[in-house]
Amino acid sequence: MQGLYRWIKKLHIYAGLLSFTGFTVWGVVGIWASFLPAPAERVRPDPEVRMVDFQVDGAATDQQVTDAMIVASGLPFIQTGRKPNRDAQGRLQVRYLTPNGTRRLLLLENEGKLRIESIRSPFVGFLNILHYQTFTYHNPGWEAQMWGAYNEFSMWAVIFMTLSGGYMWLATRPRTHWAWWTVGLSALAMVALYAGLR
Amino acid sequence: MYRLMRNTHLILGLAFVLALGVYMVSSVRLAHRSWFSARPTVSERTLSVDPERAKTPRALGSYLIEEHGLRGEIARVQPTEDGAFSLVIRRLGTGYQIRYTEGATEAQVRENRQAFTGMLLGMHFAHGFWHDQALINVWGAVLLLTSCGLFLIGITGIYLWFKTYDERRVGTILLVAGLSFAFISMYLIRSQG
Repeated sequence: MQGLYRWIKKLHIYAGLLSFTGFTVWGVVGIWASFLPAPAERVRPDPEVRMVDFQVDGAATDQQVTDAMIVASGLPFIQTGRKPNRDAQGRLQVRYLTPNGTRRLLLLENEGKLRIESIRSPFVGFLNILHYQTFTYHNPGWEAQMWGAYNEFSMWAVIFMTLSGGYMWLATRPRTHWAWWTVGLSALAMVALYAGLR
Repeated sequence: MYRLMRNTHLILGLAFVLALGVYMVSSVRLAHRSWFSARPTVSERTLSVDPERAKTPRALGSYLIEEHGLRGEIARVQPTEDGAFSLVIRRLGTGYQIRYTEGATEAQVRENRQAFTGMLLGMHFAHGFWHDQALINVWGAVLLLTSCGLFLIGITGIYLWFKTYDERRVGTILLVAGLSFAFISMYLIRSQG
């Protein structure tokens, strides 16, 4: 039993040290999100715009043109194969979100141009996008996959630490009254809140 | 000092264990959608309406909340092609899609109720203190406290590790490895513009 406890404690410490940056990012994002204004009051900055020459092959399908727009933009964190989309004026566009901000590629067919709009996210906005990228759900690109793998590891590490922390408490100090009161009151508050929100 | 830090670490962990559980379970659901088969329950019904109190979409929404007990915030008011209008009354985990033609005495209501993990997902996304529903603001406060709690749990955890002398060498290697991997990944992403 003592050996098991020692190993659980060791793994608890290791999991915490490895995932420290991960859950710190979640904490920062949680505090930031708490003080965001209502959606209607959020200020959306004007995009930075640049134009590149872009000629459309008359025989190309929407999918082929969309793929060509993505390649011509040279932007990271997107890959070909996105479903074609048109704006209210019927122009082909590609809109997507990266950790660095929102991007829009707009085809100006008559002008032979591709309009590339970028809105750079502030650093906390960057962390916000990062906080939900995981091993399977992330922007294209190996850098994003690296972070996604780390963030997913952090998620499982925190789940493990929650369970192992509970075990260590019960294994060493099961009769600590204030600990039972804390867990009881917080459970009561959470169940009441869940029921009220439901 | 060690005892104080150890108790603080434990009390914070216990106080926020369920709130953290909400975020962890919903994160697993987001990361691995195929593991969860829970689908929302959808039902439809017709509710009587006093046309005098439903001259605008928001008036209709308030009427349905007051007279028919639909709970939630009014959102997404839209005209429809046939001259009617639609609106959504939603709260966490539940949404009412309402369709109404001006002057009519009935409104069609489609209720979409998420299963347990869907509800947790709704709680994960809810934040801030600007909601009409006071309880969502209370949940916003829980998010804020949980986020601050995460920091304190991390800081006290670092202290407790540092005082565990047997683990200093391996722990330092792991801490530096974790920080390096995470910060290099972040730098590589951020530097791409």
